[in-house]
Amino acid sequence: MNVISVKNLTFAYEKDKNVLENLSLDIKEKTINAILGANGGGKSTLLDCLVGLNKPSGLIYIKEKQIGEYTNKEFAREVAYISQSTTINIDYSVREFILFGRNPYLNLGQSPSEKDYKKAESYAVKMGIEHLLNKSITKISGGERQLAFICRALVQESDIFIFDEPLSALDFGNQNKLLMIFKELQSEGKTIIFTTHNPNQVLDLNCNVVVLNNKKVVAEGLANDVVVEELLETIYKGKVSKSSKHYTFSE
Amino acid sequence: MNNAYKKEKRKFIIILVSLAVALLISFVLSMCIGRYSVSIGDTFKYLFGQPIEDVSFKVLNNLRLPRTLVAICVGCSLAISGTIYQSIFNNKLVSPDILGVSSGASVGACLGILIGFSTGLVSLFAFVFGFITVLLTLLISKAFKNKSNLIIILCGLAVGGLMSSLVGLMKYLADNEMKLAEMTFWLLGDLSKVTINDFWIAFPVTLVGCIIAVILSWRMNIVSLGKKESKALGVNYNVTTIILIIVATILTAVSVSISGTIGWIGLVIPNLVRLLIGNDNKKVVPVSMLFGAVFMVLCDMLARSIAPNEIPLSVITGIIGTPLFLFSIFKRRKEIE
Repeated sequence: MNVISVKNLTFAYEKDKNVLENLSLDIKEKTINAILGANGGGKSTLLDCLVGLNKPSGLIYIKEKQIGEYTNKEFAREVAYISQSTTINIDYSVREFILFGRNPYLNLGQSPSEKDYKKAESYAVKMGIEHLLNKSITKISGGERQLAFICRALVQESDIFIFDEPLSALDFGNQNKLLMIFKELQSEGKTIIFTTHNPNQVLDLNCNVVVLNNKKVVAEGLANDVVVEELLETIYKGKVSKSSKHYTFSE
Repeated sequence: MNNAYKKEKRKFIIILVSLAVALLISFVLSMCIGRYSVSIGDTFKYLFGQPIEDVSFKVLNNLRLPRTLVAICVGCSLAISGTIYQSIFNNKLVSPDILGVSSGASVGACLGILIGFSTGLVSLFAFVFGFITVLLTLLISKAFKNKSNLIIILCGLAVGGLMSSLVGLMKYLADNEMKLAEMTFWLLGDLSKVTINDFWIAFPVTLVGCIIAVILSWRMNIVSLGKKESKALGVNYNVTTIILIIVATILTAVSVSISGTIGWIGLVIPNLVRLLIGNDNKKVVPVSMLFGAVFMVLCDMLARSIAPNEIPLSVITGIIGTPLFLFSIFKRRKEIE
């Protein structure tokens, strides 16, 4: 079953300057999907369309229902989304910040229960950030903050996870940890969509890949089949060669 | 780690109960202390409806009770407004006047005084002008077609600046003897003229505002993260923000129209409360309400008792508020880089 289905999507921030043009896309359930493309290639714009932050022309279905038919809360229960850059000036503790992920399950006037606190803590242990729970979200490193954001998404317990450049701020070890978490989520029946501009990460994971270039999807399929030299040279505009000098974590 | 929920809840309840007790004590003290002292015994007799000496009864009934009750409402309202604005604009240095409500109210009040209106009409003018100024700020910011909160803050500064100039103009036009003095006193905040009718205006507004703020307090956390994050977490950013701005504006406009402009409370109290209890608005909102009320009652008590003549409230809140604000900055100095 397709959990996300996009038909003829076109979007422009300014009139007559399309960022995405007539784009169609299907994402199957229980899969990991990377959206690959150069900087400024429309990856984040596409994600913002998928979560309803941008209002494009065309149709977007999430679990066979148009996104406009969801209430904000219903949508957040189905889709957990972490954007690329959020400025936080109020120094919430990491625990408070992770607990925000429980909001889609809270009624007006309600706040997180003891059960929610325990849930937040167990996901923090899973992400290896339990030692940060009492620290201020504004005073931890960029990578740690990224892990806190991802932990917040996990606490949301949605079926679909959409992450914008989730690996960019992470060190080598944490990148591997996150990719393992992606696989674990997939085995639990969740669907993951993430953007990246690094083809090596996609090849290591050998997940589904959607390649964006010139406002359109130019290739789609399993990473090892799709990500080839000619394609990369077209997208990144330069000579590319394959090298074996590349470290990966063994299974 | 497992007890974090219970630990936080216990701390919150202890602080809330302590502040409620502090409010009760400051209420009783405020009833007793002033140029004409009333004994605690007589105050309690009055509060429980027993007969007391005629002069004491008149002082308590006509002066102290309305004044103290209005001080509670005003302190509560300004502290909540500050908390709301600071959360919406994701900035702890924002005060309730950020959208120009106080400066607009000042124009209304000064105009009312200049024309020679009664106190009630001056208050009404202050409220209307305060509200219109915020609308003007929001309308101008809309014309920029940029949804950033910074644009709203900058428009608030511009409109506030214009209103301050108009206040200056009216002070210039006022005669030195009476009207200028009245304007100056109003601009510095004053509860000496309030009656029980003012309380019956302030009380329902404060009550409703407090209830809405408490109900939306958890969502204020989410809204403080911005529009994108609110959407991701299932909150309608625009609707929540508009409701909160309306609540904060009405609370400030009503307070200012009754008491005149009183500085520092909306800025200092939420910051002190965050030092005490953390940043979760679910806790910050109710604690700020009580803290603001206690602070205001104590400041008003000092304003009428430390000198032979009444001292304007903003003078007291400024003298006490400045070191408290510096203290809150000092405690958080490592976070400000």
